[in-house]
Amino acid sequence: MADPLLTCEGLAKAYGGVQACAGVDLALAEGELRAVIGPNGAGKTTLTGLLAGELRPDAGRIRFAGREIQALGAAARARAGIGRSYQITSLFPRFTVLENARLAVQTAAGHAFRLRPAAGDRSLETAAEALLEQVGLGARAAVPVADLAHGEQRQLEIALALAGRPRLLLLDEPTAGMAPEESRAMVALLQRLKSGVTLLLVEHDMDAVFALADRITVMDGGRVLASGTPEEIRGSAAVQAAYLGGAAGEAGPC
Amino acid sequence: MSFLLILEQTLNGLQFGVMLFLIAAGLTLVLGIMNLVNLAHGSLYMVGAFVCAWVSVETDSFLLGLAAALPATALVASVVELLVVRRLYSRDHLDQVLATFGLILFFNEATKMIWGARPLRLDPPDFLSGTVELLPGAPYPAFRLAVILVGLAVALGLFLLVTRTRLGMLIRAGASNREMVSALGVDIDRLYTVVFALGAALTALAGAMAGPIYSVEIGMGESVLIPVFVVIVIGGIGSIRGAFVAALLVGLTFVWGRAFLPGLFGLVLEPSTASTLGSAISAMAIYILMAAVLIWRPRGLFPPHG
Amino acid sequence: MADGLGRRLGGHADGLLLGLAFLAWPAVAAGFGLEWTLDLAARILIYALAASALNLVLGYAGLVSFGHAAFFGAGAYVVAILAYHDFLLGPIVLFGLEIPGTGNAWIAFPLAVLVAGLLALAIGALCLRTSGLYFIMITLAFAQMIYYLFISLPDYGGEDGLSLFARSELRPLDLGDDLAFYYLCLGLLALVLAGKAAVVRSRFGWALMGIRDNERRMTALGLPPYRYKLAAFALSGAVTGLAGALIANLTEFVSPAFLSWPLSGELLIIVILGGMGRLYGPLLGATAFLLLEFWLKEWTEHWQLALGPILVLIVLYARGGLGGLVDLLRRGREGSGHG
Repeated sequence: MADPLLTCEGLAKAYGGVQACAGVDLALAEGELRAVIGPNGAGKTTLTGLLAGELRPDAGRIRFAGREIQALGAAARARAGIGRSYQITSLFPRFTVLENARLAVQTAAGHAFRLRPAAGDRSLETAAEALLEQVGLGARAAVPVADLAHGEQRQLEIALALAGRPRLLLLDEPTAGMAPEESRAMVALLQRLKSGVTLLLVEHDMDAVFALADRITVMDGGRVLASGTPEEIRGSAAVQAAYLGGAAGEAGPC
Repeated sequence: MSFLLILEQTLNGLQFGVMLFLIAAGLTLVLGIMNLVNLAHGSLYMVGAFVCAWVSVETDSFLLGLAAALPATALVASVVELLVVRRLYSRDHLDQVLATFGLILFFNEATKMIWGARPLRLDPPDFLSGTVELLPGAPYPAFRLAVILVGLAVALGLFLLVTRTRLGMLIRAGASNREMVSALGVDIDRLYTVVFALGAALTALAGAMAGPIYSVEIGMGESVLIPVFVVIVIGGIGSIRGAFVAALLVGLTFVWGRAFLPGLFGLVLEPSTASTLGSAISAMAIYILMAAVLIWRPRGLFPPHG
Repeated sequence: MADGLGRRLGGHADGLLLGLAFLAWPAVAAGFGLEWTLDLAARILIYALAASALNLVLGYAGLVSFGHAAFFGAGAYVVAILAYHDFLLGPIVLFGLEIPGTGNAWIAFPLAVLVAGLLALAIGALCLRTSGLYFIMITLAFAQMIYYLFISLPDYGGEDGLSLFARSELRPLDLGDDLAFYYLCLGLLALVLAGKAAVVRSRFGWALMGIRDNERRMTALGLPPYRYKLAAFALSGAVTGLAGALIANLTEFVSPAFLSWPLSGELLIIVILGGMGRLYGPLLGATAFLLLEFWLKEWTEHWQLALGPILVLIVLYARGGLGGLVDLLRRGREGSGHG
């Protein structure tokens, strides 16, 4: 088997006295879609922050595409090929959808110390339009972001994360706050993306997780409880007990 | 350079430092809790000094002047808070800077209209007008010594207030978690007014005590505001403890630099160059200190949260 | 603010109109015997130039710099000090090197820009390690450091400042001629505004606006924000230095007042008054602010008693500045043209 695209070993991060990540080991193969699930406070969002470089780990190593990256900052990791979306929509609300995409494309293209006008730059506009088509927002290009529906904003969130053609995409609850209809559209979008990019998906919506994931990692209390195929996870007694099982009523996702 | 000179300058540095602390304490609370940049804090310092000078002359008593300055300044501050500052809490820092800049212009001009453009004279009370023999042959002005003692006492009192009382608990909670304070059923608006007025009274105390040492004049607030900002940045916004440590550091750096740097440069450079360079560098000393702290700790020595 | 390209273009039309008014003003003033207003008009142009530079960091990069007086004053002092050495002191001796002074603007102005830019680079490199409240207070503090530095330099006048013996030489122009000087200010302002328009439309400008609106996302997209903010800050400081070089020539006198923090405050007010992040805003703001100041001074000795509360009211009740007002008027005129 080929080397994994991403491995992390003993990744730890504490806030004050709270151990948000307490030694997380993880390995992602190129091309897989990995779902990370777990109750609130399990350390999932902290994990994405650590992988994206927005948080500094207290301990642990991260290898990505054959390179140690734990010392790199967020911008450098993005350039190395790790894209991310946010749990709370994080766009440029004063601009239109196309302007958002164009800004993402030019940033991903690097060296923005240029004085040629950005608006009307065909190379940027074409790439931006293609990006919007990819997430199904092609018809909404001229709309100001503030006027988009919540689900559409979530789609744009994905588009921005894709702008840098990442090899690994970290998605933090892409269906957060979505109506069931929007949620289904998002699952379909992720299904389409799956073939082109390795995905790490933090998600509470179990239907989405079991529909999409190649493998699932279950976290609890800052640790990895279990990793396996959806069938293995469904069958795991430990996971049942901690998370999916009889106590689902109170420990279940919310 | 003699030991006695060093002792004297160290006391001067402490005296300047505790005054900076009295001004900085209120401002750092307002910054930390209300998230408000208040440039007009220096104006309150000026108001305190002018009221104290005026009442002192009228009643021939510094202590009466002091007794009048604190409540008068707190009252002025409360009115300003109710009329203007309250509307600025939810605004961005830029709006706060501009509006309080407007307040400075207003206060300076109003002070000039009431008391005239010339500096006022403020004498220390009789029982503090002499000197105290700290060591044989080392007299030190009693008033400056009293300023140091009062400053330290107030610092201690403030520390107890913040750590031991309900108001202090609310202040600390307010600095780190606004929602929690309102969830406790506390009237946030009133808490803010109280903190603002308390800060103003401390500043007025500093202004009144500064009167006999420096001069009571228009613009005195702005010249002290910048070193106070330096204190707050070094200490960490919102931290009383940080403000105290930083105020003493800045006070000592300022006074020592001015007193000793030209002489130190004189040891290695020719006299005219040494005095120019010495005075130039001592003028910049506290800012160089700030830069050094920032490179080391961008959020100050004692950042209160996170 | 940036909710449509149409409005931004509309802004250019207003700016053009204002520019034409300034172009025509000397002729109008001559016709009505108002030549004395040329000095005030030139001052407005110079402040507009400095405020435009500030607007690049304030309006487009979202950085509240409260220390731009340092760059303004640095530009002014470079011109004055070079001229002073040329006339009186002899060459500047620096580390054993002898540098002759000069009254030649072709040398002094670029040097003023360079020195102010380098100063901004140094100050920015430190200040940009912080953000928010810290940034405001630290830019203020460093500007104040430069202020005290110049006060403590007796060779260059200390608190009293330095007089220029004449305006700089800018052959073939004669800057001693007030009209020529006025048009130099106008021309440079136009140049700076055109340059800024290009910067704002460019990838660099978009990167700045992206950082302003969502720094975290820009970082996640692979952009190191610090470098871009620093570049903008240094550029802004350099252009502010040009304004300083001009003001030294207008008043033929420089003093630490050009470095003092109220000037930083006034520049901020001018940007806000004209409408932040608008190309022509600073010109509108400078016109309004300096005229207001002028009239208040004519009216009463205690003009600051009125100016202070006016500023408070503007901040509390007129957030978009005058530029916002112009937009409102245009929208009223065009009916439902803008959503």
